[in-house]
Amino acid sequence: MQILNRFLNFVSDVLGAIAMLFLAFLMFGTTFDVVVRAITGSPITGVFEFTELALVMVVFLGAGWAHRGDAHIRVTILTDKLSSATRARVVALAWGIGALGVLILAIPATNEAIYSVSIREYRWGYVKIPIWWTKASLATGLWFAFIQMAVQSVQLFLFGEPAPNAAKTGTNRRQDL
Amino acid sequence: MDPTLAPYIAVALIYFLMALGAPVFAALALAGAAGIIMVEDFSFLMTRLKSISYATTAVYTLTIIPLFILMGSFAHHAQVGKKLFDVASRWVGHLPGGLAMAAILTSAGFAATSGSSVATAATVGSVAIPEMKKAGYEGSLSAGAVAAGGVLGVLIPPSVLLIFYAALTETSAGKMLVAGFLPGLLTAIVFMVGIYFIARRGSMRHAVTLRASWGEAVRETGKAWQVLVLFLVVMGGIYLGLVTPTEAGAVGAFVALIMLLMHRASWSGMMGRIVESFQSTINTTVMIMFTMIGAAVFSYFLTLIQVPNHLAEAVVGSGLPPYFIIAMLLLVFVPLGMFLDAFSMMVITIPIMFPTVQSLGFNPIWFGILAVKMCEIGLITPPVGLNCYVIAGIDRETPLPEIFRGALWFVLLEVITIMILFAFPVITTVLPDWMNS
Amino acid sequence: ATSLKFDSYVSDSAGPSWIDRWYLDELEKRTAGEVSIRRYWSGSLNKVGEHLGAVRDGTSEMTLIAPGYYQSELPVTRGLEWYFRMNRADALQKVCRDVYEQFDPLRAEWEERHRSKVLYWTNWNYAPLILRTPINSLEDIKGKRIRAYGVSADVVEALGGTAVAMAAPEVYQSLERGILDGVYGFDFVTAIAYKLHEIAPQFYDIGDGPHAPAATIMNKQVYDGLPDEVRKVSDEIVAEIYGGQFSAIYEEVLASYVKTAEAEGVTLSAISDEQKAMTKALVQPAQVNSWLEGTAKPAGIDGEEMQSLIDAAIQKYDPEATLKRPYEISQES
Ligand code: NA
Ligand code: NA
Repeated sequence: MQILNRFLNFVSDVLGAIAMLFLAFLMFGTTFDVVVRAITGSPITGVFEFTELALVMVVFLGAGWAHRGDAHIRVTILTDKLSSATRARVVALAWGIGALGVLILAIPATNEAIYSVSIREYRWGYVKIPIWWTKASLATGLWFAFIQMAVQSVQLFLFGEPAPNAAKTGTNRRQDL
Repeated sequence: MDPTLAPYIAVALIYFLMALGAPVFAALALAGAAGIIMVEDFSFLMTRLKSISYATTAVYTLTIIPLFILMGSFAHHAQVGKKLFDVASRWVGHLPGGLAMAAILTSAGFAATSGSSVATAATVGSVAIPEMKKAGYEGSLSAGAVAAGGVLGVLIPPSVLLIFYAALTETSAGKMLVAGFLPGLLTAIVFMVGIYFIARRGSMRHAVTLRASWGEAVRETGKAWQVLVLFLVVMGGIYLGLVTPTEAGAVGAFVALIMLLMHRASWSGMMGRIVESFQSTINTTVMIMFTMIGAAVFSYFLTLIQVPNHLAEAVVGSGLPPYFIIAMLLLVFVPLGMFLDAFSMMVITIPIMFPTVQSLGFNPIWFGILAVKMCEIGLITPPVGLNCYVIAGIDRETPLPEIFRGALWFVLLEVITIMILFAFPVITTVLPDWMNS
Repeated sequence: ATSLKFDSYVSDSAGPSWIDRWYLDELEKRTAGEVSIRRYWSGSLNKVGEHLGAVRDGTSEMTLIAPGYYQSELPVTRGLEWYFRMNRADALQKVCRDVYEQFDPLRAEWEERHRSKVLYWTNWNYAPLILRTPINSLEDIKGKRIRAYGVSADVVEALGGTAVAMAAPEVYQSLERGILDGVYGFDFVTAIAYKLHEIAPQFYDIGDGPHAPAATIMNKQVYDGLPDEVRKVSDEIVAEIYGGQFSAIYEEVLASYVKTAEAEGVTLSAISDEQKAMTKALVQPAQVNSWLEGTAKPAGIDGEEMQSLIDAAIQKYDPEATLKRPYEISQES
């Protein structure tokens, strides 16, 4: 149990760290492009084409952190009124639904990724930028998010809600907000 | 399966799944999926969903979302946003609901740099909500104010949505942009007046700052030089032609990072602050984009069975008197706005509506601004209201239904604004007409 | 009765949409209720980049495909993309049709790989070089920042300009703010519809010939499953499109957009024949060779054979073609 959770946290940290690099690229790369263009008159080849791929990486590799940080919006106003034991069951169901929602995206995205890799797909634009690796990462991120939500659902169902703070370890919650 | 029942079942499913506490993106995706299966079949669904996650996220203009959130987060740690908000509250903070008014003013200022409603709501929200909380403001109203303030993002130029309308209808893009300015200001004023009246009753009544003298207000404005720098970098960069709005987001985030690095009080634990900014930006971005994917699935379903087309066609063919037709066309956006995003609504309905608007002899720019405003209301109405989701992501203590409840006041104020714009077209047309001469 | 979905990534007023709408209307009319078609414009059903997959996999039945968006999926078709090789858009349409019939790998790319039948070839008529400020000669292009991608970027770079990739929604505001000096590769009709001329009113005919080809396609299984009657009607309509309807529709559209453009302050000009020849030498045969080397060879396509078929078809159709360029239309009136 502990080991499983620790493993999931480890994976989400690895994927999240990569997502962070891509977010840093969005900021630094674009700024650098603007500066170079202002000085030399020409942009850096490929920054534009790469930008939207970076967004894909941020979103799908960052999905693990988002789940751990409880970032997905849920309506809890009704479930909050339930008794603790019943609530655990209902919230388990809610995350089961979340897992199902990700699953119906993950399966077809995997087919798309296999096709994309098989044709070594690249993006339209001024330069040829391969995109197959982003589609593969996208599918990976979705499968990981599915596993996280499914595991959370099963754990809630079997063991009930953890102590208030335990569920919120890991990533940020802006305490000062 | 009777296909005419499918949309009702799918909509009911959204509410049911949300009530169970399922993540919003999953409720939307599954309800949309159920709808698609009802009118087509499961294998059709699986085929359609192959590329939807990629096509919804690999969009250059959406990169503005994490960049502006990141800028907001750095600025927050460097206490830049707080200063901007301080300035605004120095001017209006002593009034009932003054801090909420300050949030609206800040939104209007930020809207002049950003072309996106969501980015405006996210940035201003992360600055203003903590301050309003501290002052004991009611969660629903303060969250609602910031969510609603976000809609100024696409009215006050720059604005991708105004350009988009111009391209769809082949009206002048330059005039559309200019036309958004006064209605944007009017919206801000109506919001502030509305807040004044709403706040006279509730917990927002308290004056949190003492009335500042004009001199002090001006001096305080001078102290917030960082705000001025950020404002100049972002807005100046756009207006001087150095950067596109998306690039401005990146440069703004970079400058805010420099400010954070130079902010002496933040030196201890700096690395933690930077990582935290990145993490919270990633989390909010994931939440927004997942929700957009869920909404894309649902919106595909509604588009597939041509719900928006049928609504628009029904009004166009109704044979009502001209002004009544325009009013009905605008009302079509209310039910659509509950589920669809502004771009989808425009793409589907404007080509159907526009020939009628033209043949009845109405000013296309005037109608465009009204349509954009109607589309924007969708951002703050349940069940799919992206601005409210963003605020819920920032303010974890106020439940989503509370935020929608708070935003409802602003829907009302939006309706008042739209009625004013409807009755006095000159507010919209004066600037573009003036451009002509 | 047959219900079909036509799903286009562009708006119903974009260049090729005028041809597509005529085909769809005629198909409905001439089959007298047997065929009905739901139309989705501006990427309202599927998003840009998803349309080929949608028709291949059968979630949509018909669509318009611009090969530039599917570079790795349509390597053979991209051999039809060039500038500075011929003069007339109506000839380009027939060139594409002939090569599709004669060159098996091109047909196989559509009918086997993407399980789609090309109903008819179409194209974006003409794409002027659009600039904010007038130029005296092509020398003045040097250092200018011009929005372009794919083969149009090759032309901009060959002329010494800087090709800038940019998302379409940002183009207008970037011209306005001076981030861009111009745009190349936007067809004339779309440029006017997007009101780019409000900021960049200098339109130059640089002798580049017709702008990129596109194909209107139908899922092959759906096509094969249509009643014989319907397929016969479709064939008739397609024959009329190739037989002069394409030119007739575009002539009218171009004439009306030239009128709008001139009324709204556009200056249509052309560079000298000498300069056209100079530009042509900069772009061709380098552009075709880069397709031969960079795309055809790695994909195992006999590019030389395809290009010689193209040359023959150009010889055959270009001299007799009639569809005038916007500049020529403006000279007549
Ligand atoms: Na704006
Ligand atoms: Na809504």
